[in-house]
Amino acid sequence: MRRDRSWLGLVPLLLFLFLFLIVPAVSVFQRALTDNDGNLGTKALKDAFTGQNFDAFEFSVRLSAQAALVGVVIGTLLAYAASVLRRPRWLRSVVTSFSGVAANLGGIPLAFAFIALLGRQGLLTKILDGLFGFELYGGSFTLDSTWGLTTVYSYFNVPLMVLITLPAIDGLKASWREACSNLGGTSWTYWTRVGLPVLAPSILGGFLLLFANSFSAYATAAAISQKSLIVPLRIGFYLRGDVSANEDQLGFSLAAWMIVIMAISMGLYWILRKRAERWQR
Amino acid sequence: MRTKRTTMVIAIVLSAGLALAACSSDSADTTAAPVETEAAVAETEAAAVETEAAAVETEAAAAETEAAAAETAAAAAGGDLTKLAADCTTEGQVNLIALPDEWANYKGILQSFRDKYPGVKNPVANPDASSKDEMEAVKTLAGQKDQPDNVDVSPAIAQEMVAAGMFEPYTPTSAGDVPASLKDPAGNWVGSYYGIMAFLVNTKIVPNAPKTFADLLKPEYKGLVALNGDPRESGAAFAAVMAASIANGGSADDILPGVKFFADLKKSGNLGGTDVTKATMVAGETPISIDWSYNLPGIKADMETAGFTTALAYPTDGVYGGFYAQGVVKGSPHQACGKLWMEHILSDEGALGYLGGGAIPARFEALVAAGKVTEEAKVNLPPAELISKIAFLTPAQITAAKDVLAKEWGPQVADA
Repeated sequence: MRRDRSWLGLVPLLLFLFLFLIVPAVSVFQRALTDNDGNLGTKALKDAFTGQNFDAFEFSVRLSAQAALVGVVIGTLLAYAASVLRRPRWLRSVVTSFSGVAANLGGIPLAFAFIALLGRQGLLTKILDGLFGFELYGGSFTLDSTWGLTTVYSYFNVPLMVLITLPAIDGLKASWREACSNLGGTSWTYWTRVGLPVLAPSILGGFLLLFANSFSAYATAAAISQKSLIVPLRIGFYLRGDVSANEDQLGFSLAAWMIVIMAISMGLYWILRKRAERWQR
Repeated sequence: MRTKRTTMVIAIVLSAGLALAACSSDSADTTAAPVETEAAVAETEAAAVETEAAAVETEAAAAETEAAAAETAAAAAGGDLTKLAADCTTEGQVNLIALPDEWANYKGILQSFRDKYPGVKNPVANPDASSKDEMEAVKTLAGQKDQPDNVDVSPAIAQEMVAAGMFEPYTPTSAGDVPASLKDPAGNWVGSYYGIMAFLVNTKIVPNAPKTFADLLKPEYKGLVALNGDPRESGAAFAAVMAASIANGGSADDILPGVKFFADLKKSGNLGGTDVTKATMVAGETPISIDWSYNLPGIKADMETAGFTTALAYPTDGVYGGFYAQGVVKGSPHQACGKLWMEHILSDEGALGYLGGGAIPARFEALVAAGKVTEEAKVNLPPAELISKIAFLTPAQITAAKDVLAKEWGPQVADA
């Protein structure tokens, strides 16, 4: 009997995952647990999740959840609009190809684009002031505030959400809606009993992805903000600072906690998704 | 650029990759080092890991019968430059890192090195790297042919590198002219240039330019003041806080008034959140930038090209001098060239090169005494009465200030 060798096709992927995900992740934990003299200890891990460092995690999780929520709501609505759009025909493909590009734009170019547009000397800031006498910076708005960062993150979060949910929304069959109406359901019934439950897995998945996207954003955040409450920036202080010395272990401990938080949210997503997909079986 | 799906993964991989690389280099340091030394001796162009080996093998040394004499001379007193230059020409290259073109006129200094020693290449890896990045590169690239031969690091990182034994002690021939506070007693590093904090002001946006730290608090500068980085990360921002502290009753032993000053600046809304880069300055986004005096003349010219008018001010109320330390990396591939580069940056050409970029060369006083500094060369320098006030921090003072910043900067300024 010939043995099944179909698993061989997976080898490159597994090898890749091993080298670039498993090994580095294990090494993060290893470095988080070893101090400069090579002694094992959990002090750094503890320090990385207390005091200012804990505040940073709290802030980052809150900021990322807020940015993800904004992205999910706007992105889903936009995807729905693109899905029901019949005319002009070209608009839909413009939306999807733009989303494809914008979802991948980030880092310093994006940050700088926002600085040029909405910065203190930004084009839009000046236009608003000149034409309408509206001072964008009159209140508490700054690009590095929570809402400023959410705005910038939305630039890649919203298009990413469109790309994720558009196929799912396209999958909503017109006949389901007709069936719902025939049985006396209103639009509200349709969405709460049919539409959203069908879309739930992809919306949840989208939320998680957007959360991860915002939680791990480094270059964009670094170019706009000097807040050390953003965990990736904080890791930067410990790992590449000019003045901080011998605090690598703390940086790795922060990274280790980031992995833990991501693992927890992945787990939550997995459980939620199981429940959301129950009706499919 | 971020990728569509796996940003998180990438962030982890990036930081972890660093860890991985550092781990593997650690083991290379301990296990592979002896083997490499032997191999180097065997090869004819031996990267001069040991002066002895180099002396035996190079052509110049063949003429000399007493290699030992050459060895002591080269190691202790800087040796004779002709031989060093010949050894370096044999090596053909010096690996440099983190020297931006517009930083203290490194562009000109790199060029004058190539003019003086034709045939020796001096590539600069990762010009915008931080000091910590440099140290990491020395560690991770140990034993490889692209390991940096020479570094230019902040005093804090220099101390760390001394502790880790990463420097090859070398005292350049002209080190006698360098003030004691600018060199390591054991010869690990020399600080060959220094500067003070300065404000570069875009006078098209801010017609009434601030002159002192106290001026920065005026309501008219709301949202206009920007710091070059975070003091917990960037040496320039650290210096700005230290200078502000001195301006507000603090001292080299007390950085807290500086933290308080920036906390007030943040509270009043004057301190913007954006980091200073050449791009933000040329775009007018950071109209009042606080940075090293030796970074600003180059950017000033760029801003003027971009159509702005500018003013350079040296705050008189807070004078704090900061230097960067240069040293030869122990066991790096081009030892002779690493030393020759030290000789070059401390030579008259090197020193006048720094001067051209607005940096004060370590041998400034000796050069002035020798009549080698023309009025023209001083055009980018801070006023003489400020230069004479410059004091440097000791490593212990730096460590103490750093600890205060680690505790206070986040809650009081960055995240307030």
